[in-house]
Amino acid sequence: MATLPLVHLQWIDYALMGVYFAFVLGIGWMLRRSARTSTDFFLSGRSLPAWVTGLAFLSANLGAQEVIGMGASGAKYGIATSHFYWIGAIPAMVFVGLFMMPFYYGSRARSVPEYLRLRFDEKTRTFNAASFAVMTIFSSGISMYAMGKLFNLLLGWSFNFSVLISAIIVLCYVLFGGLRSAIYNEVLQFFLIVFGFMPLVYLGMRAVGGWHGLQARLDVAARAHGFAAGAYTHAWTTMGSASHNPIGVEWFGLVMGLGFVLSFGYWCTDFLVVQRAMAADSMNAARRTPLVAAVPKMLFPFLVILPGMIALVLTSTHAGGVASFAHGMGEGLIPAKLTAAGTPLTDSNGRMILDYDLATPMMLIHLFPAGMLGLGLTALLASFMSGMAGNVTAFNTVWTYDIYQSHIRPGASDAHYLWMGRVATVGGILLSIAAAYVAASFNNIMDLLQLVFAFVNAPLFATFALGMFWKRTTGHGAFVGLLSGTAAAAIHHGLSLPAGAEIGVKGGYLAVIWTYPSELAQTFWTAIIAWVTCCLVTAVVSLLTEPKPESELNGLVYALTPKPTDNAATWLQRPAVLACIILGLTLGLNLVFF
Amino acid sequence: MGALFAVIGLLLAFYGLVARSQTTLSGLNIDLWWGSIMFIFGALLLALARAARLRYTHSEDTKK
Repeated sequence: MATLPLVHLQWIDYALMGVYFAFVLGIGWMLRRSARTSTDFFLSGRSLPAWVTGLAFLSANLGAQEVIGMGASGAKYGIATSHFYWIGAIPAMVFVGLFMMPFYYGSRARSVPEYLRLRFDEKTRTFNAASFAVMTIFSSGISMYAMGKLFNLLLGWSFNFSVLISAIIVLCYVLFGGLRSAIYNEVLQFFLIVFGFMPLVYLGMRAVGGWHGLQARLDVAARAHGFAAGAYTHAWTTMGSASHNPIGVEWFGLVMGLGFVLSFGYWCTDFLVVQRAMAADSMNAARRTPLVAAVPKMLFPFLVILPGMIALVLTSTHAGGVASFAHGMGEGLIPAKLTAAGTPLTDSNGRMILDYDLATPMMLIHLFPAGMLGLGLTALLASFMSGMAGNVTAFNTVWTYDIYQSHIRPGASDAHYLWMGRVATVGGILLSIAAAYVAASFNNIMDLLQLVFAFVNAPLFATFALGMFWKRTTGHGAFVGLLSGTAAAAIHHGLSLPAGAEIGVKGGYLAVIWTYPSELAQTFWTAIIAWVTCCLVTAVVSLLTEPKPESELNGLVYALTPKPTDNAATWLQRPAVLACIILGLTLGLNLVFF
Repeated sequence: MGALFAVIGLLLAFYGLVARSQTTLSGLNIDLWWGSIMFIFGALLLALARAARLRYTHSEDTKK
């Protein structure tokens, strides 16, 4: 496949990227004195206001894979992709802010695995810490890999160069300033994405003739793909049956699998995001953090999903330095995926498979002139790098507190752990680079990681939910429940296959008993089954084993914790009020795009 | 952070002026417009930061 750069940058584009790099490094340098204790380094001294932690909470989750991935999904599924936000994120964010932050923040746990040790026992904590550490390293590596691949395709930068440069920059600013640096950059990333993508949406909508123009073109595309006319522009009307909508799942699987298990499993237990809330300066700020994040999260579909939808129906009208599709195969602005030989890849029905991940980048190239393009690319760069930095900061905390301090060298001085945190940062980056090259060699690695996430996160949510709200849950119950939930996920995956897929990473490696209309449907149901299994097993084993005495569970379980009183200064600062407003607005959005 | 956006805004607006033919699409000079908006945003952030700093030192003085 030709690796011609798809676009040539002007000096202005390089200048903008250079300014960004200079700032990022400069901030890291300026913050180096602020990391004096391990609490400073890992938790930013628990000193940040809610708006900062809220934006960081959002941005930590919003890696470039999400920006590009949502664009890809927008092209593939239409506005139904917003389900990932309005069903698959907002309710969970509201829940974690209102009900779970009191435990995370109040218990003074310094990490999510540490909460598990306080609530249960060491083995549950270690299982979580170990699996989480591995996941963060791979996530970070995959960020690097995705970035290297994209910039190689778009700009012709060497893969090794991209990986190395980004690793060095992230290493520098995390090493200097710890979590505070990472959070600062995440807030920066948020604004860059907003400023970089708002014009893209504006220009794109202008090019297709506004929402009505977009609807009309998408109706044509929907019919061409075998769906009813409104399939790409309505989020709920086609959810009655799996074969009617592009996602390939019916509403129950969507709401329970995505809306409940997967989304709560991620937002409530993933230390990467929870760590940002733990850095807040007060309990009220910690509870408001996910709520503050939920407000832009509601509106992000318009920023990241719309470009994908537009890319599907916009045809390239000007050549201007952009290579046309190899072999002329593609749809709208999106080229087809090519095999190694350079011919278009087709699925088992003979339809060509589009390289959806290129939807948003192609939009950037086509619609942005020089200068703006530099801004858009800088926004993407910022996302990739803060995705890496977020994973590295989560990794160094979990490693230092939950693995090193617990098992390798307990009882050392704070300065020693601070030093270990810095060593872990270097180690984490090196391992991420290795993971990036592993991802480059096995192109299924991303699918594999998604799988592992689903296997591990879904039962984890059951463990947390039971642990926080049912005081009878015991350590043995939690541990056995986690293991069986994960095993159940693996077994279900092994016994099922999405339609049109090959046996292997996609499933079916034990036998093919169930066939799902799509990969996402299979993932959602795997999550549901894992969660239910974990709940049942945890409950049964807990009833058969000895719980901790109630005196040890104060502040860790709902029934034994004084309810936080919402006596903040203004009504807008009360988490409960914010939550109601957010849920109401989200419901409204769902209705508008029904 | 205000400084970053101010600088980016300036650069973009400048480029918009200089390379007018390349950056104007269907009558709209994107770089110039958006660069100016970003610059204003950056200036706003800088002003807010300065106001906060002044308020802080003022309250420090009044505490003594």
